[in-house]
Amino acid sequence: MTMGNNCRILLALLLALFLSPGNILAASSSETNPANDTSLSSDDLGFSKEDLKSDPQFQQDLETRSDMLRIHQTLGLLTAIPMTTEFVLGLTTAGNVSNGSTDTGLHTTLGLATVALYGTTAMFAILAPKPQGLTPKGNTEIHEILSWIHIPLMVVVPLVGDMMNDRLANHQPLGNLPTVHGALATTLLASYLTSMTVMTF
Amino acid sequence: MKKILILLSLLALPGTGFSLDLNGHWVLEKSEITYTVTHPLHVVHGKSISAKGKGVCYSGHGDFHLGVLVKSFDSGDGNRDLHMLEVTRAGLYPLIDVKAKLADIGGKKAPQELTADVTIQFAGKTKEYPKIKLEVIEWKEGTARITGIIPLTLKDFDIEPPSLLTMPVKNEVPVKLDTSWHRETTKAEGNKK
Repeated sequence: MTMGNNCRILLALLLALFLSPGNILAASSSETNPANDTSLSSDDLGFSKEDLKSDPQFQQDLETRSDMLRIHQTLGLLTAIPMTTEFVLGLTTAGNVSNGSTDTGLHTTLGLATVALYGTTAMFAILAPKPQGLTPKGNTEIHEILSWIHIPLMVVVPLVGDMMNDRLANHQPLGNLPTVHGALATTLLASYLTSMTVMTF
Repeated sequence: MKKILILLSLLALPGTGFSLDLNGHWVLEKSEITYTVTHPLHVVHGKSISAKGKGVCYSGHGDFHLGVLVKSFDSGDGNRDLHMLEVTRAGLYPLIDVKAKLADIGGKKAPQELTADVTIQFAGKTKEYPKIKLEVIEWKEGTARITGIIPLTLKDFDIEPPSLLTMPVKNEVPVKLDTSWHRETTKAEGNKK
């Protein structure tokens, strides 16, 4: 290797050193610091002003909604107790009626109390503020779909029971009303308990 | 002379492909941010893929800034997400603001791990998480994929733990970050292409 070749190689290596981006010589104080610009502010991330706007009314609605749904949850759990008891009592009453008894007083009273408690529970969910863009999904969606089964049944089942009470009072044959009442009440209890369970687990 | 040439060759190596020039501005390309809430009855994961972020690297340091809207998190249940917005005061503070300072990132071959000092503004409170370990999944010229877990707790941000059937969720809500970044092309570089 001649001295001239060595010089060329030395020159090439020195150039490579100076031009390399990660070299030790380049990391001097003369390097510009890009952090000195103001590109790291929240406004520069690309969110719209609407997205970043504080909305106290929305927060208030969320808090009211949470409070009302908490009451809905508590009352809903409480309602399950008289509803289940009413179902069991209904089975006993049906047995007594088939044996000639006409006393359905306790079953009717507990049924009306269950309807009142159920109605109060439902109102806390129906009247809770619903933020814009709210779309039910997941377990909440199942909970809502099931409510479309047990809400109408909560009206129909007592009405059928009332029809049976009228017939009993007038000593008329009940026909297949006890079967219908029992089937609807079973569907009501099953849909209600399922609706409650999906929100818990 | 040979010794000088070998020495110079070794010094030149980092500039000829073995080091990564990270200096410049970086933009968040895609991300997945997941929080995990643990309740005695179930474990819930809420995910957002809508974060936006920018970063800047200089002299072996990096300043990264990431923002994500609280309402962009999806836990699979609309009612639960609304309750999450309520407890985190998202109506008043809609943005989660994450700033990360990275050190010793220059002049290295693709690292396996980075350490960042992370500051989070969330629910109207600010909390610093020093020395958070970040895993480097991918590290190429102009792109980087970095993941990490921030050991966030509800108490850090004065958030009352939501409860179900009178049982509150755990205070620990780890947040997993999976972020892919790319370096912004300057106008001059863009014109060359």
